[in-house]
Amino acid sequence: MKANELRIGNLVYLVDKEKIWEILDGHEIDECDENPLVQPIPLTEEWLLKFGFDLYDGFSNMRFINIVKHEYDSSTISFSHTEQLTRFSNGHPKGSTLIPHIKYVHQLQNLYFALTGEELTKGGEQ
Amino acid sequence: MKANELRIGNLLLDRGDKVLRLDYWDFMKPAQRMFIEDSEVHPLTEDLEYCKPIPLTEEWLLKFGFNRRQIKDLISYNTNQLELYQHAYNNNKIFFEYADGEVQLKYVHQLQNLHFALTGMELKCAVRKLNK
Repeated sequence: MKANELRIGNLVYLVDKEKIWEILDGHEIDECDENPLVQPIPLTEEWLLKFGFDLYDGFSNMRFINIVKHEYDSSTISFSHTEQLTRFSNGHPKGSTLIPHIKYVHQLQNLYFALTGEELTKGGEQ
Repeated sequence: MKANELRIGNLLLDRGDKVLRLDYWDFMKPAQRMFIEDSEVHPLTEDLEYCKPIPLTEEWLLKFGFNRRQIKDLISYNTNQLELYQHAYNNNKIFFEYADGEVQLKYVHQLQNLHFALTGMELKCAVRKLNK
């Protein structure tokens, strides 16, 4: 992982300690840079549920999450594990935007923070 | 500023209103690498409590390569990957709109982080020297 992907609050996987770690300060971000012992956490349905998102079925094996949790909002992120395909529906007339680079938990955390100004935390607590 | 808003590559202001690029964290301080004739010298660092965000203006959007288009009171700024809006009726605040939601972008680092989160690529600044 490159350090410029990360923010304080991001969750990563520590290979040697076999555990999930929340980055607590800037120094830890520097330590993560190109460090093989720090790996990104693959984004899975299990993680989306931990974050408190409501999942609902879509078409073609896609699953959808609402960007704004627990409120009506037609802005969604949809993804398919099998196709490694993530899509952000932003209401643009041309339709939704592919965001194929969003494959990991920290990337979803950062997208959510950039869009809402709120942190995505485990247990759905903000 | 709060440390959790920041990502390496973000542009900020130091206490003297000079633009500081966050190249790495010197423990808790944002630090910018400095070079003299290609040799790395002592970095610029600033205490986070003195760092200030850079207000997002049209000038900054143009530096980042956005194209400006105006239709009456609506100004749009776009690249191939992102489109922002500025409405006169809304005090010329700059917004990224998505379906039923919108996010106001007040500061340069917020734009940088939204762009990176949505595209996976850094916004490039078209100026070599960040400070005049």
